[in-house]
Amino acid sequence: MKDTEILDLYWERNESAIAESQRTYGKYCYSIAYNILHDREDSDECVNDTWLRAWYAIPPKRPSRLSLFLGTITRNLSFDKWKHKNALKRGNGEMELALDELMECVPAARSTEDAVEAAELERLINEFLHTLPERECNVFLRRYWYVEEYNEIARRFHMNLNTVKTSLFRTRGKLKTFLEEEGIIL
Amino acid sequence: MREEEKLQQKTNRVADEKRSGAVRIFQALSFVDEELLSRSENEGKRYSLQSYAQVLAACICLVVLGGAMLVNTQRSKNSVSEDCASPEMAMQLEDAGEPEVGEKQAVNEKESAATGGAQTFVEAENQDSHTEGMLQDSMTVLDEEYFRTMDVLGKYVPGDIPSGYTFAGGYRDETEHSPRSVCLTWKTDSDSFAISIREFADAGEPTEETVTEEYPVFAEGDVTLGVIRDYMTEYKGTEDIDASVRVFAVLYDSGVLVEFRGCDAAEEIWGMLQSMEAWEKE
Repeated sequence: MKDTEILDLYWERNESAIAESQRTYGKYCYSIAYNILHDREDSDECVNDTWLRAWYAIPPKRPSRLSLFLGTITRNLSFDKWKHKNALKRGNGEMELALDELMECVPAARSTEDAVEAAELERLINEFLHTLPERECNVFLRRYWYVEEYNEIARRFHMNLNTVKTSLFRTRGKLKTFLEEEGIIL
Repeated sequence: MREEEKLQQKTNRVADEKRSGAVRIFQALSFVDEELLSRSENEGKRYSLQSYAQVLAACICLVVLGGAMLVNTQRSKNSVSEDCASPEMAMQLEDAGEPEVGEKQAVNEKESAATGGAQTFVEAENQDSHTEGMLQDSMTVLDEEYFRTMDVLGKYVPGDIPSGYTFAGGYRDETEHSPRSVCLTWKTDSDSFAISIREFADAGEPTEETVTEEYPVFAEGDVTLGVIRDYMTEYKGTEDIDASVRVFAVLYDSGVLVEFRGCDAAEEIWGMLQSMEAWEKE
């Protein structure tokens, strides 16, 4: 079923919108959740919550790309759940590694009084991503948006595993420099 | 010993701060431009398609080479030494790029066949560009007046809309000659809300069991400003939803359900309910 048809079902308040969302984007959302949580039950829960959130958000929301809209909801729900579960004890898995790697991008603290607004950080990260070559940007997003494993990214883009690692290492360095130059303190 | 402990604490604190920074970057990535995300999806698919084309080309090449060898062998037998494999191969290799084109055609045909469905979403002319994908070319843009003058559901469209909001578009169910379900939206530069109006043949009456915290539906006679204030449900959503969504619904004796979603204040809903033609007459 096309996105516009699924959206029509949401607008009509037809509950089959949820079934159609599950049918069309269930696997996609599940993979996003599972990459973060590494737990089937939790991933299923996040995916189910995704449909509920979408049900209450559409209308008035009218996402132009339903897959990304649903994927983003799943990602955030999964991240919230991950944070909750890891509040006391750090776990294992790809999410831990991804965050450990992102720590390399955090500039050294120069001042504690300059708190950066989240919106500004979002704007700058978008700006930074737009400066990257297409392939480099894609690899970065597959890793840190979709939390995909290195070998999965290598397979997706027909790249050597080490090339993926090197690309990500360099991009993290660039992001750190970029944020430092922008005076970002995290 | 105390110095070591202090050093360890400091090290831990630095690590925690770094981790907190990583979390913020991860969260900030939630708002990455859709086009970038979409591009990262499509590149993988493009490569798959290229691989497919390459494999297909290789297969065709082998077949053609095999055929050419067979032809050459036969011609050798017939003492003919022409090389006719190359032009054929060239043609076949050009054809190897066909799957991409063919796939696009198939998608186009499928999309064409899917148009003209029973349900329609139409938008006002001032709608922002990101929703263009939902427009159907063949549709006439319907204005607010169209919905207001509908036979049955028109009287549930509020006469007064909160100030600052302009009509953004609407959905109508065309499964019947007369729509039995419409959904309208109004927006400002930064906000929007929707009202869905649906007619049910047998809606029943809202009871304590059906009026839930998650989805409050009240019979028209029970609705007051205080009830809306007390029961309007707010969905905070997640960080991807840039504004919370508030929901409240009213079921009329006629079987029509009017659902408000995205209205910020109870007073706004109350004002709109009172401005409906249905409110005055029923």
